[in-house]
Amino acid sequence: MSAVRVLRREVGCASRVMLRSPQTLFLVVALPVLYLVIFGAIFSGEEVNDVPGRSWNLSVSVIMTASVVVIGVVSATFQSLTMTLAQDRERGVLKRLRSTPLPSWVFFTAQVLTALLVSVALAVLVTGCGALAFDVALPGRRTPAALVTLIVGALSCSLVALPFSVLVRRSAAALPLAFGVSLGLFFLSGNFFPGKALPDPVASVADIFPVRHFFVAMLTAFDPHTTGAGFEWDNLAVLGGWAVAGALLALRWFRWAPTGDR
Amino acid sequence: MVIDDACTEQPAGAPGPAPDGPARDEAGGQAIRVRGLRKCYGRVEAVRGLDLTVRRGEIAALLGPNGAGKTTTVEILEGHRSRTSGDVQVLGADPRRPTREWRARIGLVLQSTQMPAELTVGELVARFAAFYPSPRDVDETIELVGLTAKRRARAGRLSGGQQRRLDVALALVGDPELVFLDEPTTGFDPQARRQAWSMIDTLRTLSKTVLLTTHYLDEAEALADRIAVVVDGRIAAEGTPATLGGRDSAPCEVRFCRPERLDPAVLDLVAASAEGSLTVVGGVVTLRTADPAGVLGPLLDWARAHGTELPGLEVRRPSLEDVYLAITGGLGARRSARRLEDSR
Repeated sequence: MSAVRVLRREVGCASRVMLRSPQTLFLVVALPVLYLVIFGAIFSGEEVNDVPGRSWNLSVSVIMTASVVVIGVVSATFQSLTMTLAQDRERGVLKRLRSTPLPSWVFFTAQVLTALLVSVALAVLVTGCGALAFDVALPGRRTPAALVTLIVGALSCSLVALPFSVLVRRSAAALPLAFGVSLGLFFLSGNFFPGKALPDPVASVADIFPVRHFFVAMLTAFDPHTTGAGFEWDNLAVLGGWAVAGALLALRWFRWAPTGDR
Repeated sequence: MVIDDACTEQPAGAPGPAPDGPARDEAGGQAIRVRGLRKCYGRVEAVRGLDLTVRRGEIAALLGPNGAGKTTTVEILEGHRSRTSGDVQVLGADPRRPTREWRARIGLVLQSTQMPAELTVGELVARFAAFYPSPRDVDETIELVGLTAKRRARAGRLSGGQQRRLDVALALVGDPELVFLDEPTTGFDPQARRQAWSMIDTLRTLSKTVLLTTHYLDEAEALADRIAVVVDGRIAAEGTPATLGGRDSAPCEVRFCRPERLDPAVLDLVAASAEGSLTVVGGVVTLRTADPAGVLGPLLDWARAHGTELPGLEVRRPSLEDVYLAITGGLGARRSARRLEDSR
C-alpha cells in the first residue's frame, strides 16, 4: 500500500482515538469552550485600554476569543500528543509499531497532521462561539494571518510534544504533566487575564516559551483595529524556532520502548 | 573476573566468528541461527554464550525459569535490543540493522502490549494489515484467532485473553514467515491457555516458523517440535519433547506392591536378567531398568501362573518435569554459587 494511503489510514486511527476518548474530548473541546463562556460572561461588553502594544481600547470578548483559540490549540496539540505518545509508549504500542514496516516518518506525520486537523476544527468552533455569543468580529481580511498563525502555532506545539513526551515516564503521569505545564504557561502568558499587562519579569520568562507569542500573534489577527494583513512575523519566527527545536530534539531523543526496558 | 572480559563491547566490524552468508542460511533452511550470543547489562551478563538454530517451518520453544535470559534473547532476534557480542542471523539478515523488508517478514507478540483502548478489533487489524506489502485477509485473520464476535468491540473492553489473541492477530495479519511469541499465555486461566494453544497449533498448518518463549513446561510440551532449555543465559539442554535431556533413553521405574507369595529370590532373578536395580521399601517394589519389557514379561507370567495380580503396577518414564528440574536445578545451584562469588 502506498505511503499516502497508509498515512491517511493512520490519521483516521489517530483522530478516532482522540474523538472517542472522553478525557481528551473534555480537555480539548469542553474545557476551552467553558473558559470562553465563563470569561466572556463575566466580562461581557467590557473594554480594556491597557492592552500591551496597543493605544486603543479592546473588547474583552475579542481578547478571550483569541486566547481560547490558543488554549484549545495547545490542548489539541501539546497536551493531547504528549498523553497519547507517553501512554502508547508505556503500554508497548510504540515498540510494537516499531517492529512493523511502518516508516517512522509516516507515524509522526500522521500524529501531527491529526493534531493540526483537530486544531483547525477547534479554532472554527471557538471563533463561532465568540461570534455568536459575544459578537466578536471574524478576522475578515486578516483570515490568512489567523490561519497561518494557527498552523504555525499548532505545528510548533505539536513538535514540542514529541521530545516532551519522553520526559513522562509513567502513563499515569502523562495527564498531570501535560496539563500542568500548559496551564502554567497559560497563566504566565496572560491567557486568563484579558488586557492586563504582565509584570516585566513574568513577561520576559513568558517570552521564552511559544504560548505567549502564539497568543500575541492570534490577538493581532482577531483585533479589528489592526491595520494591514495582521501577520506578527517576529512572534511567528519564535514559534517556527520552537518547531525546529522540537523536531531536532525528537530526532535525537525520541524513545519507542517503554521506560522499564533497559 | 571473567564477566569483565566478556562484557567489553565488540567494535562494529571487528573480526568475530566467521558469519555464514545469508544465502547459505536461507538455503540451509535455517530461519534463525545464533552463535555465541552475549548480552551484558552493565556488569551483569544476562546472556552468556547462547547457541540456537531454528529450522524453517519448525515450532521451537525457549523454555526456562524467569530471568534466564529468554526475553533478552528474543528481543535481540527481533531487532529491539543490541547485543554485546555474537553472530546472529534471522531470516538471513543481522537484526542489528533491521530494514523495512525484513520487518515485513516477521510477526511478533511482545510480552506486554496494550493496544489503544479506543480502537476496535477490526480497526486495529486493518490498521496493521496496511503496513505490510502482502497482508492476510483481515476478517479471516480475526476468525483465525477466534475474535469474530468481538470484531466491533474496542480493544479496551477485551479480557486479558482476548487482548492477547488480538496481539496474535496483529502478528499474523502481515503474513510473516517467522513469528516470535514471548510468553503468549502468561496470566491466562487454564481454559484460555488451551484456546491459545490450539490457535498457536494452527500456525503449524500455515507452515510458519515460530519461536516461543515460556516458563510453562506443559506449554512447551504441547506446542513445540523442539525445546531448548535456557538457564543462566545459555542453552542447558535441547531436544524434542520426547528426547529432551535423554528422557527417551533414561531408565524406567517399574513399581508395584509386593504380593505375599512372591519370593524375593524371584525378584532378584528378574532384576538381574534385565540389568535393573531393585529396592523394596514398605512392601513397594521399585525396579529401575532401561529394559522395562524384560522386567514385566517374567513378572506378569509369574502373576498369571499363580492366579494373582501385581497391585498398583505402574511403569514410569521420567516426566518432562523431572528432566527439566534436573537440568535447571543443577545449573540453578551453580548460578547461586556464582552470584555469591560475584557479590564478594
